[in-house]
Amino acid sequence: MIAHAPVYGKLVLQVDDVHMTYHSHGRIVHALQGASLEVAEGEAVGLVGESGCGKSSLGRALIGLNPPTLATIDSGRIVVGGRDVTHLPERDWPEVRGNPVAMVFQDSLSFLNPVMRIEEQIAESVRIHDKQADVRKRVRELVQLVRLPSAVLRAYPFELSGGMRQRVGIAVALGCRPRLLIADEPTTALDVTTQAEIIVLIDELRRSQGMSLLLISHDLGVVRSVCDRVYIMYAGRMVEWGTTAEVFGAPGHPYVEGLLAAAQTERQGRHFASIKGEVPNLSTQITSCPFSPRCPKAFDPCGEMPPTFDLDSPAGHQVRCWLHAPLPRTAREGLNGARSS
Amino acid sequence: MVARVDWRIILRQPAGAISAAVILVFLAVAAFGPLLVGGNPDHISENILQAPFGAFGLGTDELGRNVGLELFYGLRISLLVGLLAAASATLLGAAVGSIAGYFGRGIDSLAMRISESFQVLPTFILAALIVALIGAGLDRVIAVIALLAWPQTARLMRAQVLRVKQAEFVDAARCLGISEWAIMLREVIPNAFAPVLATATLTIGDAILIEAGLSYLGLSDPSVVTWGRMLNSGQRFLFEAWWLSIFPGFAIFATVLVFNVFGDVLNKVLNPRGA
Amino acid sequence: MTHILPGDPVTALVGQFPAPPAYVALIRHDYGLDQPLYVQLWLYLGNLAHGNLGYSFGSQRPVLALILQHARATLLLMVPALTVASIVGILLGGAAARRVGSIYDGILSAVSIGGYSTPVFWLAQILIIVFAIKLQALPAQGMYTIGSDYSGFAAFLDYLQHLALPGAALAFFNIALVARVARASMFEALHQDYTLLALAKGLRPTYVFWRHVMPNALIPIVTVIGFNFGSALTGAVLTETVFGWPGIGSLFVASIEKRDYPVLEGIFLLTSFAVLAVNLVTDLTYGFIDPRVARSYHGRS
Repeated sequence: MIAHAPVYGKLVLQVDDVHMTYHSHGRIVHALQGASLEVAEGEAVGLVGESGCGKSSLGRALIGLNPPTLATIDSGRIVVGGRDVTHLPERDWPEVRGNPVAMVFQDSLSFLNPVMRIEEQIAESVRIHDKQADVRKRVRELVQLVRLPSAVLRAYPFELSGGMRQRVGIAVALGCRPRLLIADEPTTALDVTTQAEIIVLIDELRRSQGMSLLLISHDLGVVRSVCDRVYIMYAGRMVEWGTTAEVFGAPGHPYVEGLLAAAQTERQGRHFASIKGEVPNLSTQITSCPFSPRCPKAFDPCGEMPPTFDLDSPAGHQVRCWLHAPLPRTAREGLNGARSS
Repeated sequence: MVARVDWRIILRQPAGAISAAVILVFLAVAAFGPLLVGGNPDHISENILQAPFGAFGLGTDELGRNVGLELFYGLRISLLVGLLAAASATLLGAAVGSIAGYFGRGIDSLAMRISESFQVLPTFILAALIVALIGAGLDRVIAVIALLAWPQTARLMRAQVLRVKQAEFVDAARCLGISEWAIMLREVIPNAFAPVLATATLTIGDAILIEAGLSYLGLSDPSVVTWGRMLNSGQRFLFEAWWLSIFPGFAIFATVLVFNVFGDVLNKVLNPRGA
Repeated sequence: MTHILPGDPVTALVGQFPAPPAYVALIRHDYGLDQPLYVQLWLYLGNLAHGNLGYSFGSQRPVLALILQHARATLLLMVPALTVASIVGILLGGAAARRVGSIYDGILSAVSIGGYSTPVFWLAQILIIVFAIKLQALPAQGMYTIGSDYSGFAAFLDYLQHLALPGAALAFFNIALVARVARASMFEALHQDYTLLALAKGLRPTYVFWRHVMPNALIPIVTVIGFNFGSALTGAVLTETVFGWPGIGSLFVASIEKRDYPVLEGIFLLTSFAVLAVNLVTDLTYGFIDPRVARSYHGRS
């Protein structure tokens, strides 16, 4: 068990060294190769990575939406709201979904039923998770909470703008009264001004409703503004994590350095300082450090295996990079010994 | 036009390969079979209504004609009608659809109104009506079927042309000073044509079924052996001679089936969408 | 209108008998056939406006009444057969959509293409041979037992017995068609993102299926069924011929043989009208049940 969070409050989410593979048409994709994270009550945690790093797969796994015929969790544990859902059978998932964990999706045009009115779609959440409530009244409350006019209730999804639909998605999730809200790229499909509005809304609601938040995004700026802690993911595993101040202020992993540099030059309008190379193909299990082919600071041990234990970065948070191993670089024998243990 | 279709993908699917092979066999049999086997399907004999699997192959009909031979020769007619009708309908439909789609506006509206009015009519009833009135020659049957089938192709072709003509290479061709007609013929149509092939194959099956229906109702060329006409006789002798119904009908079924299967494979390859 | 075409209707009517010219002339006058062509056309259209489709050459009865009477029988065949076909098709297609790629799906697709390729009159003949002749289980001809005197429930049972075979023949083709569309449409609906959101709310899969997937999937299915009406009508005509079912189909075939032009014209007009009406209704229904289309009818928002 790896303790990541400062030990205050209960853990509302625990992901412990999960390995997950997709099987389809005879091909295997190792989507998760040792993913771990924790979210405590009332926390806002970010999960950052490029497309294809596995963050969305992980997000869906937390709510049981990976098709069971295709995706299998080979090892590790997922505990949601105190309940082990790693191998939860499909018929038991409705007890977990919505409450304690609800999800806001990326693009609410395709995620809302096109032939059903907004009011009904929000009401569905309320009816299941808020049995005592006066449904109509509660739906109106929710719509107000997300700063939408009540006129949207009679409308259909295609009549609303992207930002409005995203607010509806948030209302739907809130209607479930979740303890943990997972937002999977909630702003990616929106234009920049709307992005800011939505992210501010999510942040405020999280605080006022007392929920925990897991924000999955590839946008560093968004994560930095909202989250207390952040995990950086690459090739199906976590490579660095800690408080946002630590990780973004003093990154330990070359990949994170590269991400920050790219984001910064983009903000400054300069030519991208992008990370050379491509994201690794996850069809094979990678035995070396997955970032090593692209890493400007790679050296011998990187090509042989990634660190399987957490190392302390200078800033005090955890990182999985040989650069921070407390050994002289040239001490090969020491590393050989470590590998065989 | 046809060269842009990747035949290898089609043949790699078992359904595609098998149906293509069977179609080729049918075509070969229709073309060369009668020459090799000989025999006269119209030969009337006194061995009427003989059961099959005996001395008379697949049996004989009420005039003593050999059912097997009739089936054999009927294949020619069915394929002829099917292919010719589908080809004419496709050509006509593709022509109208391309012009309507490419040149738009007035011509387009007119063409679409016409094709819509055809769409509303109950095709078979109209076909039966026309054939009843103008006589039942084989060429007329083909013409009638083609006349009723072209709107579907026209609509599809038009949609395709609309899609392709927005592509950049069309503008590029214009910049080079190529005339509009030449662009339509040499740039747009070849790229738009592929899905129409699939529909054309399915039209062959439809045409064969329509012709069979017409002959079944007695609206066929009396001098020609067709499977539908055999079913017409079969109808009268349902109680005594089941073979007069089962075999010709099965022949129709099998032929239409292979064309439909092949057309289905073409559809999946050329119009990828969903499952 | 059909006078442009060969085949003198009067000769057909009078038949083989050598009729005195005066009698022939009388008939011509009766039917208005001795008037110039444009006058005849004008008279026809005028009559049409009053719902008068003329009189059948063969039976001397008003065409409209004749057709409507036969139409009743056709509807008694088509409506049950198509309803059953649609329901069965949707169920089969839906089951296949959930098992795409499996053996069940493969079988369904194969049967579907097969059904689509079968000439309906051949299928009808097979059914007769197997069930009526060999097994003697069901009647092969007509809509009711001739010479019988059933009433009430017994009459209904008799009708059902006679409906079994022709109904099955007619339904088969349509089941194939509906199942294909249903499979594609439901597969698409099942894999839409909104099902994910619905499940994420904690809704049970069965509820999600009926309340979210089905309404979306049904839209294209219903439109296909509606636009397929013309072809279903064709199937009915052919099926009626095989079974001697006293509907429009039988009337049509008999009129062709007798060159009974008024009846043929009447049938053509009425069936075209019926197909047009059904297509219109389907179009309107589609606009009604899909809010994306309905709203755009009222102008852009």
